[in-house]
Amino acid sequence: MSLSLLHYSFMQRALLAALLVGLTAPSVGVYIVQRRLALIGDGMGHIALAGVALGVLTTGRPVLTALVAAVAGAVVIELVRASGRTSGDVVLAIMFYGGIAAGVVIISRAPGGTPANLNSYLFGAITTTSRADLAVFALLAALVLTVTVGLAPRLFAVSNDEEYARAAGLPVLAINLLLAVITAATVVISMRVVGLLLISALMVVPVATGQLLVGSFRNTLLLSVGIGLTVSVAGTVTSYYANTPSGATIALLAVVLFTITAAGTAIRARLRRDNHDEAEDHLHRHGPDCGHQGVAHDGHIDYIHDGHRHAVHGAHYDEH
Amino acid sequence: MSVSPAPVVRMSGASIGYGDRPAIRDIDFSLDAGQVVVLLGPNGAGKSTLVRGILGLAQLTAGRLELFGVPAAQFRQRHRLGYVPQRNTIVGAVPSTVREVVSSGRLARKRPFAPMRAADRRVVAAVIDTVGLTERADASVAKLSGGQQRRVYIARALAAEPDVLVMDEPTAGVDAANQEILAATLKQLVTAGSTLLLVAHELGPLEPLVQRVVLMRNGRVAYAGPPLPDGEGAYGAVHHHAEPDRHRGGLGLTGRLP
Repeated sequence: MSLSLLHYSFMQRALLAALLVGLTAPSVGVYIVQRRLALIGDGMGHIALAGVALGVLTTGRPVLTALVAAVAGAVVIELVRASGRTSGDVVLAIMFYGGIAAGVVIISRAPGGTPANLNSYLFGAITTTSRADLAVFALLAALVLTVTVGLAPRLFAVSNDEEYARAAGLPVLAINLLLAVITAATVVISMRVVGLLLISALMVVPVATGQLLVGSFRNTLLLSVGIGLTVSVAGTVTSYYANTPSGATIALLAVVLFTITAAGTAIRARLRRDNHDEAEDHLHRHGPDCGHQGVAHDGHIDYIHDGHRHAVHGAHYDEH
Repeated sequence: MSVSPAPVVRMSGASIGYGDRPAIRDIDFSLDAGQVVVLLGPNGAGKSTLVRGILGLAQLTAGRLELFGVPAAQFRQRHRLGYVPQRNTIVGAVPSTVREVVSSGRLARKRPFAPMRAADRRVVAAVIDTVGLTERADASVAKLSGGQQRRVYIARALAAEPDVLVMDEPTAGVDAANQEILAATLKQLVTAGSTLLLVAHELGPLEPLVQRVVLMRNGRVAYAGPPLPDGEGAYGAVHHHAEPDRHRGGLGLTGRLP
């Protein structure tokens, strides 16, 4: 296969945009997944759509208005969350649907506008990325990466255990707001490439794949960025040759990779278990004087440990 | 001439709760440096609320609260209070290692953009060793047993080199053998001069460490003083009482005070 696609400047811009998305989306997504807010990117995408429509109607600069709308939405979402209201998720739902509905209505009022104009933002239109778009995306990506690299330990601490972080005196609200703002920036970077409806895919799926394979946060982050870069570039190239929409192609690749990885790790775990449950790792060696109650079970002793029954099996313990 | 330091916690007439509903009312409580105090009482007695008020996680709606002699609203040295929450599940959804979680405790001591330095990493390694998890330092926390996870949270609190450890139900959901390991770890800390504030249902293997018991019931302090000579039996009666208000005025425990 020749690299003829690189002869086209629109494809060069498309690949650069894909690289920026592949790099930033998982860098932010790992914290979103850690906070169990995997769908928040989706919501911000909905709100950004209203911004896109406003931009089409008024300034002709939809990227900038989308950024303003997404950042404003992100800040409101975070403040609603911080207020701890039980109706918080309903408020979010109202904002999300309000955003998408406003987008469709506003665009219909633009000169010659129809909801079809929104398609390129909803599903991505990577090959229409302009030089000016690319400059804005690069700037936003630099901002996102500065925050995610510079504040990595704090983002981890707050996302891992918000209550503890608050008790330790960390500026939890400020860090959450910052994370919300860089999430909004990532949504805007991604909207040309994968589209506002598929943005969450690149934030969440590479992280979900990465965490199946490694046991530390740092390695999950590195691996998910690697996966993000791979699928966004491979998806862009595939869409060029296969003549498919880029955003959906990238998202689909990410999902396929996740499915293969999940199936592979499940099979591996199954084979390793050899039809038995291995107990959690522990240093403690069970024995007659270990303090755990022993129970006779089929010719061996099970030890009651944290409410489980552990039995020796080679170098580890099984759950019985 | 030496001036005795301000108490770690001084609370008078305090009501603490969430929003405008106080869960505990009109509480007087104090904790001095070097003390090992346990808050005892049944579920819903207000033990955790009291602790959460001290940690700034629940609101002081009335009364006074001073931390190290500073009114709580102006207190900025949160790293001096090491919090060990009651957790039976892993919080973050992405796997993280013992070292990563314990390192996050070190941040309480750091400025916002300051990187972790070699000295910080040495403290992290030392506190992981204190709780006996050095060999598991790079294991995923999710793979550890409940008792080991509790020790990870103790190490995280210790990483900020706090003056006080505040522990919510350190032994709940931990089997007898791991409770002994926890008790040994805490004994080591007490010997080294740490101040401990523990929340517990029952003392269990922590009993020999405890210098003062504060028994809570229905959001009020029912008894405060040294551990009772009868040991757990004396507190146990409180748990199972069918009519909680029958012994108003100290649950009949006052007669036994030294």
